[in-house]
Amino acid sequence: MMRVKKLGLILFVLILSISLVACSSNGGNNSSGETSQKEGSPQKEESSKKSESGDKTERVLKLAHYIDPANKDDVYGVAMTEIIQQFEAETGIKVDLETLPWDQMESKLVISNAAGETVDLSWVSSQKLASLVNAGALRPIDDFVATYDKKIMDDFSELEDKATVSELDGKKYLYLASMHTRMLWYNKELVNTPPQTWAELVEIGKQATDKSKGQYGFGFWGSKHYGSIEVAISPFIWSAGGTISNKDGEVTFNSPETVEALQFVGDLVHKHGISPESVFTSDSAEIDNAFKAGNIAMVINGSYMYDRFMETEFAKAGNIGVAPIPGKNGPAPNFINGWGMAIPKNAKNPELAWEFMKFFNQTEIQIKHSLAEGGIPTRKSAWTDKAFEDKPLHQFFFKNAEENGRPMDPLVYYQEGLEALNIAALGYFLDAKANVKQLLDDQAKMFNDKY
Amino acid sequence: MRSQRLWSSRLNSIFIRMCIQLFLIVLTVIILVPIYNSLITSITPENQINRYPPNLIPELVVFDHYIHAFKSQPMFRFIFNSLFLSIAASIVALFISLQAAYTLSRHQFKGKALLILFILFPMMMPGITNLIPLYNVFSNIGLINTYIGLILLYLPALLPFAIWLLKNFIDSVPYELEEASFIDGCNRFSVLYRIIFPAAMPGIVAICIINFVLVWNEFLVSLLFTTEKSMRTMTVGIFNFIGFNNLQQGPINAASIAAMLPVIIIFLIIRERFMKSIIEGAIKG
Amino acid sequence: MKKDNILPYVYLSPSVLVLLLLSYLPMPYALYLAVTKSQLGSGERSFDGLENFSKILKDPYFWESLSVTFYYTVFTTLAMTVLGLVLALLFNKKIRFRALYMTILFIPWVVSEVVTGQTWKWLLNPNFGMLNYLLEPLGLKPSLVLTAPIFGLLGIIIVTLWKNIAYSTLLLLAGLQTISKDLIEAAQIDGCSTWKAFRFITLPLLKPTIMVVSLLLIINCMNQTGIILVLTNGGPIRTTETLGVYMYKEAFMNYHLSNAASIAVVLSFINLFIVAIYFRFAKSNM
Repeated sequence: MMRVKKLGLILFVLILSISLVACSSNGGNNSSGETSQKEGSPQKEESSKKSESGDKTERVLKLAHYIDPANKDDVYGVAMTEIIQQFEAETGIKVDLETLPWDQMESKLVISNAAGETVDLSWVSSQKLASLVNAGALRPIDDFVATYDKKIMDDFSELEDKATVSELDGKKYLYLASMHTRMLWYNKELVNTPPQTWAELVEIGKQATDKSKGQYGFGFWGSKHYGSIEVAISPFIWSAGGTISNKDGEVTFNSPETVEALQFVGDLVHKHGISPESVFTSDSAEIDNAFKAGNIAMVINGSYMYDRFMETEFAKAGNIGVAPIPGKNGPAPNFINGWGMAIPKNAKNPELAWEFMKFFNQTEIQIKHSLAEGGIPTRKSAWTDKAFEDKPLHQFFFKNAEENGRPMDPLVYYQEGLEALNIAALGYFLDAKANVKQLLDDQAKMFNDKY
Repeated sequence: MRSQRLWSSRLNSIFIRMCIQLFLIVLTVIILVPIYNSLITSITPENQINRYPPNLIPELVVFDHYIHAFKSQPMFRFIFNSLFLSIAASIVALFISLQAAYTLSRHQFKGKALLILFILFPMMMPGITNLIPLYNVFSNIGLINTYIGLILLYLPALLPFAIWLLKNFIDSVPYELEEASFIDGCNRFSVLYRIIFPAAMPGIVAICIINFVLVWNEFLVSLLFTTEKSMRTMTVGIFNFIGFNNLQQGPINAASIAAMLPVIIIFLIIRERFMKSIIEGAIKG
Repeated sequence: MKKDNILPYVYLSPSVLVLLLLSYLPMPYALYLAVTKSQLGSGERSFDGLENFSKILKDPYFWESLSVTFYYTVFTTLAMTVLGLVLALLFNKKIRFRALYMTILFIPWVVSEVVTGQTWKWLLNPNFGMLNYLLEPLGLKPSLVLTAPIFGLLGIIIVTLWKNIAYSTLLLLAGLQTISKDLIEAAQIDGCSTWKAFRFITLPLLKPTIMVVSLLLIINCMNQTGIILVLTNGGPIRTTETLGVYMYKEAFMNYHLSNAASIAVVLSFINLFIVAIYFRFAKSNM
């Protein structure tokens, strides 16, 4: 048994030494040679302005994004990495990139901001703007924007502004990296002409549905997540004339128009059978995968699915189509938002962050980014650039955004409000016999009382 | 008469044994279904992954996903980090908790009840809100992105359980064994290792395995307290395969299966070395 | 039991130190969050007293989650303890293929929660999942756990069980193995049947372990978030939204840190209450 004790002791010492030594061994480990990743653990003396080489005072911008420079297969990642390198070359500011999972970006921002140690610029989902502002995690950029040339300001799409100004205090907090519009994607091998109205949707959907083969006509994201309201349910509500909230911060979704819209959506599964039941329980990825595999003929999704959908076999054969979302009697409005660049409140180098934002807002960068990501440039002048001449999908995105795009209804408690609607809607979606009006009334009352 | 009873009891025991096997087989099949699914997905070509009706047996087998997974992410580094941290944290936790558990079990002293409460209370507090001030302190002392920092952070989650469990196991070791060795002149410290350690071995092994798995599965701390990819664990690293609009089912399952293998091997080794000696040791009493 | 002077304190110091620094020291921050409210927009905090707590008590979501947590915890703990006990008893004997079964049981435990959730979600998919495909002809529709609110809890209980059964089995097995086999052998020589030996010797000796395991399982369930988030996100509707999940969402999705902190405090009290009952029960049983 002395052997065990000795073994244990040796192990203990070994672990201790490895742990202490480990950080410096990281210095040699660089997964990509291109964009510099942070070397070693930050030491107290070293401020974020000094570089690793020591003597020269270098400006370093700490940036958080979800791309992974090491992944060469990701078209968007490669493009984004090039953009960052171009920024470094043109401005002499070094970029220190932290890669985070895309759905943890905002959480990490809030937590590190509360703790006082944060990056200078982070990519955030613009729909989280309200929550982030409410939590006091962001630094308004109105002071920086004031330095912008008027010509440039006019060149930004109005939709960009709508998605980046807070309902709470009217201040601007983000610049969108690109804008995303939602539309009907369809598989031309299964659907010839896309539907334009609700009636056509049902009809064409039925033609494309064959349950014995596991094939369905129409899919969308309708599960328990506020995002489902943003992407798929709101077009139906708006098209029927309903609203989600009003300017006084109250939710208004318990209206007959909303009832009508929700009943139509529920019918798609229960009555007409053109949508699989899993639209109410699966996350977006599962529905998208089914679409990509050819099991669903039409889906509602955003322009951000561009590079993923283009990977499919039918897209490569030129058989992918896009159309405005069918509304009650014509094209339905769709929600416009995007990934945005935000400066945490406690960022140490907001000016460097602003330099990056300015760089990124340039038309040529917007074009380059948009080509890879599928989003719409925020600069209107980019829309008419020759780079998009032979890109019919991109051109459709621009048109769809301009003609049918709109911001979300005003909500200070954005996520909570949408969630309340989501819960009411699901109560009906999952139980076709439920009283929709009652559910909506209950949730609306609960929300209005609570907030 | 005697032979008849023997014969029927033998038949009885065969019947019982068959029942037991049947039960275990059914159970393991149920358990394996998702694993099997994961395995299949990891070796199915991309364009066949979401086919319906699903194939139960793949027609084509490809290893692209594994190659892609290992090429696009530093998988070996992730796995190494996870393994190292899990092993290190559970050994450190074991040493610390063994001391504490032994003391709580065998000693009587002032404030004992209070100390027990002190040690158990952190178990009940969900640790999420602790993370913010800890993050603040850790980044100021420079403990972000270090193994030591992470191990320290895992400890409060491991210690209360470990101490409490070990105390219970040590309680059931009869005191006479130690009394005998005290009379023989052993001091407290060696008693711990010579007598308690082997006697409570089943418990110790169980706790080591549990601590290992707890750290292996840990996500939040590993995410928040590392900013560099090279320091990340499997649980965080696997998120790299869940792109923004892109759930790469093939690589994610490949990564998951690949990560499972070292752990299973370790489990088998531990089982071989320790469990066997326990089972034999228990017979000696 | 020996009475020493400072030795016990010395032995306990590492544990106490670690817990003090890393668990107790940050705790006031949670309390601070719970009794202050943040100014909308600036994030500045102002003292609010017990406002947050009264808000929670008026919040219907809170009570719903409380009830969900109760059922989830009770049933999962029960299932895991009983099944774990059965398996531990089986593994304690020399059964054929024991090593194989134990290893297979162990595998789900080390699969990442993300992959667990994703895999089960896909298997249970109402339209494209393998389970419906295989079991619907037999009259079962496994996907109901995702689509029907009444069955929601069943789904997460089963997946939690699947993933963690090795935990309770391992602990109970360890407990079993510390019971000296001689005792049982002696009893059997005296003519005791296997069942009687189990009831009157094994079970009572195992009771402390069973109680500890149950307690740990209960606390585990109260804190479980990963699997539920990926599998159902609290759905269908809100039938799987436990307090732990609700708190996580408040903290990391809505950034209502005060709310999250208040729920955390309430959760701690509930846990404390459970532990107190456990001790009361354990003491009376000794």
